[in-house]
Amino acid sequence: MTDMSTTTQAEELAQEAHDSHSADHSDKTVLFGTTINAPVYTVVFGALGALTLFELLIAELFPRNFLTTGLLVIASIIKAVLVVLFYMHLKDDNPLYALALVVPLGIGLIAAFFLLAVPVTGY
Amino acid sequence: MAAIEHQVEHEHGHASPAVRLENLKFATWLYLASEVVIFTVLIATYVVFSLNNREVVHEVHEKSGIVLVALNTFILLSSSWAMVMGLRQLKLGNRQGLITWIGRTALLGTVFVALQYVEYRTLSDAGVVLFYTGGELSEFGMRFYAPTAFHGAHVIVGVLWALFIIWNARRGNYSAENYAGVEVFGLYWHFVDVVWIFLFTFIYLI
Amino acid sequence: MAAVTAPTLPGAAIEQPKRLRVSDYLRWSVDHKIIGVQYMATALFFFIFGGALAMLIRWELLTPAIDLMADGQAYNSLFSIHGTVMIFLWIIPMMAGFANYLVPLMLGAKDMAFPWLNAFAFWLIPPAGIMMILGYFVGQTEAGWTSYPPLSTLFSGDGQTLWALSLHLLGVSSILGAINFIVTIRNMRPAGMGYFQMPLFVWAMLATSIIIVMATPFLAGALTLLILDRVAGTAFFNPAQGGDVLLWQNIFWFYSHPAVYIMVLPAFGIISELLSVHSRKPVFGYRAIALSSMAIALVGFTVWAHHMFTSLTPELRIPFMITSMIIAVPTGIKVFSWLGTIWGGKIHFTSAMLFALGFLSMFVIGGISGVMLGSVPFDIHVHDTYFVVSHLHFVLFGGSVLAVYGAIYHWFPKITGRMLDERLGKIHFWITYPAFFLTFFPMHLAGMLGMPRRVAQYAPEFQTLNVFISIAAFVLGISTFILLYNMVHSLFYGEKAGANPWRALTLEWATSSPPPSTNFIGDPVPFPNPYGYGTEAAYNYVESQNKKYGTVNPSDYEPVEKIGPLSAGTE
Repeated sequence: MTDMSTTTQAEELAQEAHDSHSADHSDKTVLFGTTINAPVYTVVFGALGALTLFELLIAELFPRNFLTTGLLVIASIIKAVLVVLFYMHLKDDNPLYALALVVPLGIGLIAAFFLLAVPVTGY
Repeated sequence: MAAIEHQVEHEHGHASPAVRLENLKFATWLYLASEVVIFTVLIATYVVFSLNNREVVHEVHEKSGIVLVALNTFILLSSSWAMVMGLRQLKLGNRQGLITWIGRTALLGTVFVALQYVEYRTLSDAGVVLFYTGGELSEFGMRFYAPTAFHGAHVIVGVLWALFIIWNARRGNYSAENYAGVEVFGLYWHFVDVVWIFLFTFIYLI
Repeated sequence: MAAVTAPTLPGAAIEQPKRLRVSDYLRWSVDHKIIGVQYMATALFFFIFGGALAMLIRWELLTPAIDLMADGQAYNSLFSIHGTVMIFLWIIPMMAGFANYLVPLMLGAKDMAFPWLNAFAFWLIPPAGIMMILGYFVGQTEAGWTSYPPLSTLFSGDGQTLWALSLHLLGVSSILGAINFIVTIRNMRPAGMGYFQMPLFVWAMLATSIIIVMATPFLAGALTLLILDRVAGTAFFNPAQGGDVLLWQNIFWFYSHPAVYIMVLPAFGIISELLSVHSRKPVFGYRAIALSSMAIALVGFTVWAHHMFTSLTPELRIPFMITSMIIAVPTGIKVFSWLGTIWGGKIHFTSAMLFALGFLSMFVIGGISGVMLGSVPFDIHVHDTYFVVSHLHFVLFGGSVLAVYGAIYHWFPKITGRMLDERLGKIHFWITYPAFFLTFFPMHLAGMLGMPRRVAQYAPEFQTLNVFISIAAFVLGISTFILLYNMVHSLFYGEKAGANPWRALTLEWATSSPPPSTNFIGDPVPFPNPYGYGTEAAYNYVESQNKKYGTVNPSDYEPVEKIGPLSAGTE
């Protein structure tokens, strides 16, 4: 308690975060050992587009069943995670922020699953 | 006394850019936490109905088609990409690049809203309406319009916010060190994009 | 609105704080202390309004027939608005007021993280309150504070729509406030103050704010659907048109069960402060109290359907019964720790301490009746009877309101620079406490005998009980005016308080009373353990503080020799 100074927690956190965003500025992206001549954001954008096309193909070509529905859900989750990690910088940011998404999502899903169960049980 | 007043203004008003960024980012994530909850409830309301009324969902999908909404999905994804490219330009010190890219974001967002309006018109002409008219289509309608329109409202707010960012940037308010306002808008805009990713899959595809 | 006259501080080295006038509290201000007082004054106004409605309810229930009210619907409006006002415009804003005032001070910060947002969150409340009261007058908000459809969709009048809009505004206000608190607590602590050196009130506000951020949107979603049902002709809650009537109950309680912890967790924090300061002992089980708040916050999300035992499928009752029993455990841990805190302490029976002890005793009764209600067989028996009314008033009045009273006696000197009159305070306590008990305890009996809640007409055999309850309630209502008189009188004529009248160790006392607008002169030095009472280091810490602020505490409140290093409780 002796090192009490005038700095606040935020200043310390800001200091920690300062040196993390270097990857954003590069014009090159290394993906699975291959160097791609585009910023990482563009590469992510390409992945998002490809996943969307994949989803559209599945949705249009195959009937809805357990497998295709599962694939669609997984694809959408991957897309969302990509946006959150790269575009919202969660990759480099404080892991605490992830809790701000995960905890309410968990709570929301408890509610959602419960609501799903209600009509099935007869009400 | 005047010195104290000045100090008060300072203490209550401004912190250093780094601290401000840290505070604003955390606050935005917390705000998004409550948005997560509200969208989860709305989507769940839809999903419950959708799982129990497969044939109605199928009928609506037949009527609406997938082309328009797929196009819209790409538009929103592109706007998100434009957003993050704008932030990148700003961090590289290029304010004009920021204005250009955010301008694209705002434009794509506007197109998205316009196309959603077209889609709504198509659907309501086909009998899918918000209020109850006595058929299964309107039972579908209320559950469909609530999440998508709520999302649409977020896009509209986002477009206005983007215009505000452009206005601010033109006045020279942002720099490579002072980018908190843009970063926070980015978080919001990408979140709206993430919501759409799930809406697209759960409402239009499944 | 309360006028705060800053006292002239002895000690020339200290900045003369600007004299705050009444008009300063009626204006937009970003100073968290002014906002805190604004919150509290507004909440007190609505407390009186809601209390007046409660008096009307008890007046109506003096006889088994409808006599005071025009008809049953008017009575429905009465208790609906009473419930909503007391919860959303009294308890929650009052706690927010204390938190606004105290959290930055306790953290040694100059202000909240977002002062402007803070002011904005407050200024949403007056219009929301006006809308709510307008709703009462324009027509038939008659679905209770829970507003179950179809009562709230197909039967209530336009007042119900205003009610929903008003709650929407209040929800936005409390979410914004909560975000502000969480950011403040995480980012504005002075370096070196870890999470486990924070005062327990701050911990309680952290847990509360987390609940608000994650639970209130459920209410917002449900209200949006309700408004759509009422205004746009949708049928989310109307099974006849393809909706689901239970959807509202699920979403509403998914918000409102966590919301009861929004109302009571800050009270827990207040009590932790009060008990420790006034019994001159370190808090027993600091970490247990701090972490049990978080446990309550999380488990609170898994118990909602115990409000719906009679409308759920039977298979789902037992899981919710189990979680409801589990959530009593962290609360029990707190009560145990509080008892451990006062055990062997040097208890000073100040008004604040009396109310804290009153909280402890009454809240335990409310908690136990809560566990009783949580068990399915018993709940089926007393569902929708006065037993439930009794339970919720024991936890909300016996819990939150008594804690707020205690907090007023404890922090009034800090906020205004004047002590409240202790003699009046004790009279206030000794009328409020028995009157409260005699009002609400017999309701258990009425409930178990089968008297339903929310009725204006009841079977004649309950009349004796109801007359008894009503008389006690009138005494309880009148006793509130002792506090109000005390506050107004002490504001002008109260004894000067000095910086630290209770010789407390938390940081809000390490500055003048009321604090200057920058909160502290220089940077405050926190004591390593905010509850390290009874040690020589703590004694010297307070003494050095008193030297800095010149003034010593009024001697008849806490004689210095009583809390000297050797005589303090050390167990």
